[in-house]
Amino acid sequence: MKRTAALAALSLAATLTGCGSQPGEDAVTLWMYPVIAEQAQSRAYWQRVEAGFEAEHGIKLRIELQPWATREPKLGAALMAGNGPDVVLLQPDMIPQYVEEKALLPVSDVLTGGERAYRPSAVDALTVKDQVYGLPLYQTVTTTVYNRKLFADAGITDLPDTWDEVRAAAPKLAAHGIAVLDYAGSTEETLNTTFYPLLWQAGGTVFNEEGTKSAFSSPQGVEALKFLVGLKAMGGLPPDAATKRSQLADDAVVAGRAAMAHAMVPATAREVARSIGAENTVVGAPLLGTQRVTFGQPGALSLLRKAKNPDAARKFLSYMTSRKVVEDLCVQSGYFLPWTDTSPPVVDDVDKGFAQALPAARAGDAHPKARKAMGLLSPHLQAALLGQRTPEQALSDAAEEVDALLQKR
Amino acid sequence: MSRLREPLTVLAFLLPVLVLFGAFRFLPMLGAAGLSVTDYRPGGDVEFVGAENYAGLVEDRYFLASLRTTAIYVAIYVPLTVAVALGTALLLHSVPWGRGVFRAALFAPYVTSLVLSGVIWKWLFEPAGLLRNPSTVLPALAIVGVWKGFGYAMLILLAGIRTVPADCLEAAEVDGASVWQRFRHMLLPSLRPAIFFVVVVETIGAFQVFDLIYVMTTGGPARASYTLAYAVYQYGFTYFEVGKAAAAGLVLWAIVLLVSLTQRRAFERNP
Repeated sequence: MKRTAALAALSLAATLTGCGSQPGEDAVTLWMYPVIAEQAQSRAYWQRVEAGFEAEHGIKLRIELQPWATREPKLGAALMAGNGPDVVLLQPDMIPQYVEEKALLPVSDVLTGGERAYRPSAVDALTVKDQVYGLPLYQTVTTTVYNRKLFADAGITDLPDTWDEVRAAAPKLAAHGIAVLDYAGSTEETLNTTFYPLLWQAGGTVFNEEGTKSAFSSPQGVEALKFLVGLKAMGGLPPDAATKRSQLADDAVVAGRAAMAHAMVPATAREVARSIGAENTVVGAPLLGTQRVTFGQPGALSLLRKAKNPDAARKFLSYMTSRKVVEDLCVQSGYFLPWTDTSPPVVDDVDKGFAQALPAARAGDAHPKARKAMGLLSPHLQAALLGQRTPEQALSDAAEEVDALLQKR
Repeated sequence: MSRLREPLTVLAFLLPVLVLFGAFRFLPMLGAAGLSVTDYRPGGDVEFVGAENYAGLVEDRYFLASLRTTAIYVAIYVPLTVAVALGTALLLHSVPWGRGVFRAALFAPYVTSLVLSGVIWKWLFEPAGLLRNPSTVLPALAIVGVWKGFGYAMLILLAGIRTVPADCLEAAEVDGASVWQRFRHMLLPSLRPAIFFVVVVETIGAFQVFDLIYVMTTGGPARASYTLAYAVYQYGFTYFEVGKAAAAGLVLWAIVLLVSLTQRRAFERNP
């Protein structure tokens, strides 16, 4: 019997082994994402941050580098389970939702503690009801990137700068089996880098000014979707445009199957340059519809409400957003500085092109239900691109659903 | 004391499994039932909302559409899996040599990472555009599901076939029974328990299909592959509607339970 009891105890102990311990209360935990693409460079930078903060404040810093993929589900699950980080990198359009879910603490006091002139658009994008919930760490921007050779092969010497010129180029490129514009319509993609820049270029917005109703089914929204559907009909989009992802492996410009992209990020532009040659890669201004606008946003650090030691976390936020640490991050990552009193680090033609697009950057339409609205709108955009619905029908159906969502408490 | 010794010993050895089952199956289920009547927020706030989440599901047309999509997927996937598994099990049984090699080869997809194979299948389907077309996306996904899952069912059925005495089959052959007659009147009746098990397990798995959708279509195009399990994921982890996700999860559980019990009764009535 004794032996049986011992065996049972042993097996129970073995079962329960693996229940990990929680990080110490005095430590600050940061969830960070691969903003520095090169792994060794990234590791070295974050080791410097850890060592620097610990030396300055004597507080243990634990940096957990997470992948971009499944970012929101993972963070949501951690928060719901009560074991999330203290500080996390968020994008502006995520912040209103997290504020509404009462998951964030304001950080206005940390922001005003510095001497930097943050981009006003960046601070606005991180502000909810007069409180700042994110500290800008870097600024991103997207813009138009062209494969000059594909246009030249189709007999087009002037790269299209407006929607009309893109439309005119589409059939000429399609005759060579090339899509004029790359487009990633998967429902997993953020519309901030797909449909919304076109909506803004047409002069539309996602929500009305009060945030009480959708506004994307306006004539401007219909015009933007008609632009895409029209290109699709002319062979001007990749065949799988309605469902494809924007991952590098699926990028039609990198693969030489599409001649341009309207909202490309610098990292992808560099891949394009590597793939088709720097001499064939042109980084242009955002396309002109009725206005020239594109997507660009600050990456921001937010303080979670369930932070185990908010005071230590605030000290870390202050350290992390200090001029020296941020400048080092921007040099390593290739992103732009979040303030305007220093020139952005320009190292090559790709940087130069993207830097010129910075003034046209819009951080997205902030709303607590922005991400949910995106989830409802995306399948309708797919339906229009697949020819199941007209642009008017698709946007009207989506507007009905989004309006119902906005009316819910 | 000696009378209690055997049951206590059994209990002691079962305890680790019972603890695991309780901790990772039973308690989460109870937790989900509790969450389904609340408006739980990631920030930690929780409010009792009664049946509001269930009412929300009834009003949600995409949830109702996800039920239909899931049912269509199950209707394609389960018969196809059983047919392919039974066919390969019979072929394997009749192979005179190298059976182990063939069995391992056929079982390989079951232990292959779906993330890797999903990407390759996406490439394979791309020229025909099967995943881009709302009317072909579910059959295409079911094909991948069958490819991935038939190996397990095949092993169960193969084990069932082996329980049929070879001399009986030989005697029937000598008596002039055709291949079909031997299959229909000898093998199939013997395989009924194994087929029942396979049908139940595959039906449960098919109702819970998620990874395939997540990797290959993310519910699209235009929600044509938006299944119930994917809806649960979206409610919970995209929209943070934890209560609604829990309610949808319990609806899924109830459907699976009901279907499994119905299948069991059907098999019992026609032994």
